[in-house]
Amino acid sequence: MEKQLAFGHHAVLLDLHDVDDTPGPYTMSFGFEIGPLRESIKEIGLVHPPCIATEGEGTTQIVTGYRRILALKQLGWSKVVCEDISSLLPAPLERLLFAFYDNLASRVFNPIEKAMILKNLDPFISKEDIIQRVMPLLSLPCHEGTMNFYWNLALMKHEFKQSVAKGLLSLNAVKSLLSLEPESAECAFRCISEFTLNFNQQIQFIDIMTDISDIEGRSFSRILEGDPVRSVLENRHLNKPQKAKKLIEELRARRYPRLKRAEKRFQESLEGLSLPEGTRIDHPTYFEAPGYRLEVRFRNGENLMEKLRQLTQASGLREFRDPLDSDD
Amino acid sequence: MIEKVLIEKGARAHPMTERILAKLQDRFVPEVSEPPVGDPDKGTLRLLSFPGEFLKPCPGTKSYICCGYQILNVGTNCPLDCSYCILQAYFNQPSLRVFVNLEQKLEEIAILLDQDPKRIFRMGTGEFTDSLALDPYTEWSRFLPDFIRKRRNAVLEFKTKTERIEGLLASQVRDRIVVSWSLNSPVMAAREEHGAPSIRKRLEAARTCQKEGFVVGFHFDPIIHHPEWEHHYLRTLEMMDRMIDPARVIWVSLGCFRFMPLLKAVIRKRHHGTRILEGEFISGLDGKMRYFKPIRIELYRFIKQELDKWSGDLGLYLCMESDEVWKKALGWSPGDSEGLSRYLDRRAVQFFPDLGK
Repeated sequence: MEKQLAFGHHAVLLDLHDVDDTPGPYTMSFGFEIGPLRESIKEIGLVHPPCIATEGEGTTQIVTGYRRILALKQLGWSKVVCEDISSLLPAPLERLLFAFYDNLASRVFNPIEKAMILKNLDPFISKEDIIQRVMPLLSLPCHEGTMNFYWNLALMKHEFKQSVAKGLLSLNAVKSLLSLEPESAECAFRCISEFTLNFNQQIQFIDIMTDISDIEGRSFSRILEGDPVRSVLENRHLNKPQKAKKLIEELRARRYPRLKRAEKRFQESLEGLSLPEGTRIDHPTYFEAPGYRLEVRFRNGENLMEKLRQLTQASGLREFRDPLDSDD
Repeated sequence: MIEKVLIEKGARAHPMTERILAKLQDRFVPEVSEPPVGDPDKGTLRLLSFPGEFLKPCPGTKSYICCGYQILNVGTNCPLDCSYCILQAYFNQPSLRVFVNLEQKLEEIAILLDQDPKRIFRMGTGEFTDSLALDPYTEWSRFLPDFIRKRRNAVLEFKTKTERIEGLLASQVRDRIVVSWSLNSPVMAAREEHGAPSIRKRLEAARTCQKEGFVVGFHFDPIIHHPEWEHHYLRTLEMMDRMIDPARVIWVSLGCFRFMPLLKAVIRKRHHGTRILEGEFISGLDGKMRYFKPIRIELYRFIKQELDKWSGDLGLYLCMESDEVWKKALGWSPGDSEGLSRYLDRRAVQFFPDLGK
């Protein structure tokens, strides 16, 4: 059915001192940068008035324009003309959907905002409707498991959500963190944040830490407080990415001792070879497939022939063995 | 065990439905909801008419040697709750599912088998469910052997962890029927195979079957690397030595624990305190997580050496392993999946001389 809301007839002057900075029930903004909006308003003024509604005992709630109101406050405005939609949209669900569709048309939601939307809709519409009607609009798969994950995401601590919204913490890492005890999750999150682990490292870190914790019966914090992990974290000669890499290496060595020993033996046996410059030997991933790979970089045919000649005469090559044959 | 029975649309008319209902009438729930989603529901038996193919080759796994087995798909899920079970990952089908149109579909399978009379079909029902756990209700052991009796190019294996052999023992058919048990170390069986009988009870059931004229098999799968594993697996092997006649063992398979990566989170969530994830797992050539190769070789080599002391003629083979691991662990290799298939076919003919004739 065609519907046009009659705006402009319910303008009210809102005293910004009366508006709380904390997000209300219709707000679906999180982890945003206010600066550009503030500068925009400063330059050309406020183009679209916020929409507000009066609830219960006369409390004013922002329905749309939360970020605009925050920007106005920062700019020192004391009052702003708003559209009061209380009578147009009397039910909370109508206001929530109004805010949702208004935002949907104009921007992309980050994962935390999606989580807030799904969680805020929960009291008003059925799970089935959330899954089938709302989730596709948020570009989310229509699965109950996905909905539950986003609901849990909405309930996470503020600093976790900030990291997700800023793209510093992957959703896969969040899934893993949610499966941990709160203390372990907190500890893992601190480490991920402090050493700015990339997405791949985040997953590896949580997975290996969980394994080590189970195997050794130690908490995350005890593992990180002990050597050799602590010495990596406290090493002043390493920058953050180097520390992150070294941390994962140390944890892997602890989790996969036999694999690490095989890798070490392989490296040692390579060091004993006098391979020509521009050649290298690689082992298969985890030594699972049989055989090795020889890589030769050369300039031309003559250069290749020379390198192959040198290779055939490389000392120690005949003694090169599968490091797994001497696995203890 | 079974708390309720649901009958899906189109399943009511089948005789198997009537038979099952006669035994579980008090647990029948008339209304059938849509197939549920969620954690495994081992108390609900869902009867349905399965529209798909009933006999399919085991998908095996690329990059490793597989045995050329045919899966007779009689149902999915299992009342046992082994911590390592792959079926836990199939969230969209959490209840126990029995395909009640199996008897009708056997006619199609018969045509398939008869079209290729020289080919030996080694088939089994224990891939997506336990072959005998639901047998008191389904009576698979009553009519499947009858079906096999008429097909000279097929061997049927009932693969189980249970001691529910009453139906089999009541059957008159022995030819081309193999009853096999999944085995583990007693400590792993007790800790990780929830709801399954002890190793001793499984072997007692195997002994009874042997005495009643059945050919038996054993599957050490999944072999789990755990503290003092040599000692614990040796206990199982010693029990086999005491209870089983090796001359009537058609095959023994060995397969180390392996799992799809997504199963890890499910295991952690569902089985607190499990020790099966503690091994040194690497990502295999097929994307599944497996023990680091030297660990697998060590496990296989040990069990092989100990089994050899019992008998050197057990039809020992590895499940989903590489040529290299075969050679290093068992001292020989079938080379590829066709080679292993031929080896097991020969083994089957050795026990059932009329097979394929």
